Amino acid sequence: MEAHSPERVLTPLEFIQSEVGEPIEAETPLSECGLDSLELLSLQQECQDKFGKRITDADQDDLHTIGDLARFFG
Amino acid sequence: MPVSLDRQAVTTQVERWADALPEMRPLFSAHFRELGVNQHRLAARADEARYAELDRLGILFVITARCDGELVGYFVGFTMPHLHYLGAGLWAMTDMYYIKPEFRCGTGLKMFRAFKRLARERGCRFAVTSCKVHQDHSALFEKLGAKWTDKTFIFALEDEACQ
Repeated sequence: MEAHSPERVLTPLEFIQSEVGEPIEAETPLSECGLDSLELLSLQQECQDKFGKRITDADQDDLHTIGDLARFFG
Repeated sequence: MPVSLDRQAVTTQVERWADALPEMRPLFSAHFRELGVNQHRLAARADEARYAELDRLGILFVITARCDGELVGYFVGFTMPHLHYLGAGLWAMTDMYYIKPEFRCGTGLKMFRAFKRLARERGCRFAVTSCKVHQDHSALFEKLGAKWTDKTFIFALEDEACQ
């Protein structure tokens, strides 16, 4: 009988990269990943929904790169 | 066009009118050219003395967006009681905002979050903002939790025949 491996859960970084839709380095500033404010907000909200953690206003000050965002949800 | 990778992240902060003004002045003309809706009737000339007075009274606020110390955007507004909602506390009202085009990817989000944060910190119950018809940010505002409540119209009276 063929064994089925459970579907692998994406890490926050992988999820963000998949949402951005192109290979992107963790060090890439959020301002340079090709997303406008609305798209960036949508991405953050999708991460919140997926990983169950809410970004507060105070948290925003520390989120400068794709990696910062991934680590926040990691 | 995105800024280069060696740039620092854009930060937002609250500054005094007089401190930000010298760097804001050069952006006013680009702001007006892009967003002014009555450019053939009006010159872009801020009433700097009145802004300074409102700042002195604690009514004005200026949120700046900076990258490597350079001013790349500003958000100016007022916190005050609403004239026709006596007893309803303070409201944060938008006067104007602008971001240099090359710094727009995500800076607007930071600025509007900073606006909401400032409004909360000043004890406001409501924060009001708007956008131009020709540069519509409705989707961003609604995603940030705002509700669309008004439409604004301007009568250019000097051009009008009696209607």
